[in-house]
Amino acid sequence: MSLASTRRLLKEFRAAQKSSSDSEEELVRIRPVSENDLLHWVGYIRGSKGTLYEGGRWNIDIQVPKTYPLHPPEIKFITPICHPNVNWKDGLVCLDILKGQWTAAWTLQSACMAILVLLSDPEPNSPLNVDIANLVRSGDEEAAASLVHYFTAKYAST
Amino acid sequence: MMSGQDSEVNQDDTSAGTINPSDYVTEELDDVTILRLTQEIKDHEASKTPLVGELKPISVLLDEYADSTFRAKIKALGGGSTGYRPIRGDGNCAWRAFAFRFFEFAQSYAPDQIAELKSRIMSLTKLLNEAGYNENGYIDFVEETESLFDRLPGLTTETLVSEFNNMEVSSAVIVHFRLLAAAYVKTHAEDYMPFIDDGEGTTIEEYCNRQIEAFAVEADHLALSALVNAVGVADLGVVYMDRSEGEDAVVHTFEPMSASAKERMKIDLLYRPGHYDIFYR
Repeated sequence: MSLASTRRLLKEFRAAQKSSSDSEEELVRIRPVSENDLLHWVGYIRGSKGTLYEGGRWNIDIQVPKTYPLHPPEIKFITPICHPNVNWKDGLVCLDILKGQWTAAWTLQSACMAILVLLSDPEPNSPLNVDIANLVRSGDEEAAASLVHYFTAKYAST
Repeated sequence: MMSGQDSEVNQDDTSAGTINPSDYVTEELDDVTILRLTQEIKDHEASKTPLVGELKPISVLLDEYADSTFRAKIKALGGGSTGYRPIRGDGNCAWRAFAFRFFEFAQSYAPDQIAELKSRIMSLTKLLNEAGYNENGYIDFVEETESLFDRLPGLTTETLVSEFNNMEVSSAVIVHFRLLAAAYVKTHAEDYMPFIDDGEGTTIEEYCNRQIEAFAVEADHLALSALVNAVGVADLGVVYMDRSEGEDAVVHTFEPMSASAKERMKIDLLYRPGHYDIFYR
């Protein structure tokens, strides 16, 4: 890992420590698995109030490449989540900023915030979960909501 | 892009290289894998040339072209007094070329002029804040540029080339300059929106993210204009070496809208479709 990566990740680690309260207000919380390995982080994302995902809490896993922040982290859901842009099997997220549109000015925290925004603002035209994407695309809000609520209650209720 | 023997040799190298597509076909490729593989191929190709090469006489370019349109334009650029410095084609070339030439000019300045230039560039950090960037996201890159300015009085052109061939230094300065250009667009939305509006609702944020901030995405016309405006101390001339008609290469000049310096640097880039190198008049 380069000096620049280490320096940057240490800053993010300190910032993550500062904003520490496990309150329900905190929608995204992340930390390195160990202080000796800043390339592997874990945490969770809570659904925002007033969205389909309200009340759920999903654990996430973040693998940071050695070339971070020039290249994006790989973020996936550990807790199963029913969402058009998340692969049901492996939890991988389809989000442009985690691929070619990544910017070195983003942080792990802001990348997770972007995923939080994606939860309530899906892109059903580039689906990783076709079942829920079809419901969203066809405008069947009721069916989409009941499917999301079912899986949230089953796997991610707090 | 290039005709002649060089490019054929390169293609042979690739097929015999370390990346074997059959290693990967056993499982379905997901987007992340495709992205990684594409990057590996790019890196593999790019690693054959230095990030910033040695200054060469312009006549060297003639050997790369059989095409008469190109040859006529190269000849029209002038003879022994002109030259070019090849830059690695990794998607950052325009940014790296501009940044290197910028520091090459600065390196020739007197210490007090360097100090003045440094404070001008550092003062632009307020632009990053105005544009809404998080300090944790940009500070390391800004500090790397600052430290390069501090080392500059002790550098020669040769050692500056070495500095820019250090991936860490080079990348940091490029990210810094990309963010300055994007911040300029974001804080001058009324000037740029007419060019960004594509009828599909692309916002300033999306444009900057896609075309300017993303590392290894080539600079377009608007990005270069924003970079020149943000930096404010350099005119940029782009010499277009393409297949368009005429014996002379078209030169497009970018000048800062509000220039802070009386005497501005004259940075010239040589554009060949898809790639920028530095041009020396």
